[in-house]
Amino acid sequence: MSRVSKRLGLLLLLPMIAFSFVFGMYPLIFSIFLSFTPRVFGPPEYWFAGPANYVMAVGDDFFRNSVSVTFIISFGAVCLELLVGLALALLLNEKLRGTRLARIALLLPMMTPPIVVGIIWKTMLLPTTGPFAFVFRSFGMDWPNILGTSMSILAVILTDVWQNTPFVMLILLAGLQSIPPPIVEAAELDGAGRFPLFRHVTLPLLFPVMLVAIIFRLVSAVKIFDTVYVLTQGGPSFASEVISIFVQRTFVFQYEIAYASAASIIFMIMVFALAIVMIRVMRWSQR
Amino acid sequence: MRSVVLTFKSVFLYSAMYTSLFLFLFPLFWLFRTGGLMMSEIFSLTTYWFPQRLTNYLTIWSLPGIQGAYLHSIIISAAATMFTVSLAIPVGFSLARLSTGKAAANFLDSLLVAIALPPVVLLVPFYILMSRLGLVDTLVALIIMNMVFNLPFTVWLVYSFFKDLPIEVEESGMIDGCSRLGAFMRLSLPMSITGLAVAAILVFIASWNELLYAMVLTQRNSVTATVAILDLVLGRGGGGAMPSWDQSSAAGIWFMIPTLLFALIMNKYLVRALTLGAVKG
Repeated sequence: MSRVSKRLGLLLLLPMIAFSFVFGMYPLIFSIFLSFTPRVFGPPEYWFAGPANYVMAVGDDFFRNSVSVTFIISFGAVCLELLVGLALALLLNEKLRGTRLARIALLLPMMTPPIVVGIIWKTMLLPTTGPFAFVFRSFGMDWPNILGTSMSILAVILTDVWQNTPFVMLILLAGLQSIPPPIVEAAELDGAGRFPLFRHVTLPLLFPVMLVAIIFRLVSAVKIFDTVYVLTQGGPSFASEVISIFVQRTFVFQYEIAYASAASIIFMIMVFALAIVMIRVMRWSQR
Repeated sequence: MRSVVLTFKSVFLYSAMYTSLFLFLFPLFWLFRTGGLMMSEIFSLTTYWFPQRLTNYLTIWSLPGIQGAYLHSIIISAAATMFTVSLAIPVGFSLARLSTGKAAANFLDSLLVAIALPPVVLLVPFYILMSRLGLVDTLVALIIMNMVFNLPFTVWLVYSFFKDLPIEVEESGMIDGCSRLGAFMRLSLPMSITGLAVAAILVFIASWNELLYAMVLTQRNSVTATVAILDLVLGRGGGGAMPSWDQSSAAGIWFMIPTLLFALIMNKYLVRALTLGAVKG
């Protein structure tokens, strides 16, 4: 590599690096700084108050609640999406008529804007007139006002499963289709039954893409904001308040700038752990 | 005997496929239905399974501020897409062809970290920065914001598309007298137009759907379609204070048309793009 092209390489990076520093890195550093200023309601006071906000956040029931709500929603949704997505991928991998059209049709939920997904499920889950209420009533049961009780977290998971299972399905389907047929044929020749074939041949070969699906889903699931905000705004009484809503509420409605900053920095540190796993997985899958 | 077993199996598979298709598509039909009702019908004791009229789909356009909100969303998304992709192309080229070694690898890793960063983390400082720059409630603030959060994955995508192109084409171009940059711009860039379009579509969709920052950074002059629709759902819209799920459903149908169209266009590349190239779909 010549000196000239090395200099050109650096030069080409400059515009993006400059932009990212001003509008990405600077706000981040500023936020870390803010998180060490005193907890006040209103305009921030710029003096060093030590880690008081962090100590406060770690012991704050509302913040801890939002952390556990976020992780329950993320892990619950991703587990279900993996199960349903695998079943769908196996189904669409069969030689059936219409699988290609079905694959395209299943893109629609995942490409529906999150805010619209929220509207859809807000009306789907209505206690008296939605389809759930209808099905339950025809069995002589009452469909609870799920968004108005502490079960609202289940509604969020259901909504997320509807929206994102297709994404997991697409990844797993791509994985299934990249398994070379000779491997499966050889196992069948050796007399492997349907289940052992799946358990000992398909599943291990599918494992790398499964990991990619899990990581991508987890990383984006913890960011969840839009759908929850439309469905419940975090309620009722914080039952579905994810971290993003906690920070937004603390900042916008309580105007606690320093405290909201500390909470978001804690959130960032938790997500970085996930990001490190993500990097490992990306390196591994690109090999 | 064998054909009977096969038929039973295929009946099971076909019914499973159509049942799951129904379950995944029904909610979208439900949105269309709700958009065709009135609030009183949404809450009436008899369940309406079909839209009763389609007037909402036209009348929402005369609600105060709706047309402006959609226009703002179009401007913000288009501008953010254009600037993000233009910033990402030179970086992608540099990472794929010119910068190598440890520094480039670290740069790529930092992109992944930035991709994983939840937008809410920068909400507070970004708002303060924008208010110091006098940009709160302007389209510019949201354009910048969408660039910040879409640049990392765009760079990564563009880089992975460039890297997959054969370098020999550029080399032969250089033998024929092109400069390093000229060979890239004349030969590789046109070849990667599909990849760039996919990246652009993803940026557009992400900016189009953005809600959190739009809620905080807009007040009156730069309200986006997402904020306008949220106001309809939660009932803080210009006209009345009541939630109107009928109107928000109708507005939602209009709102999702571009994203669905784009999704169908890039159907083949979607998996690869959304997994940053980790899964070749």
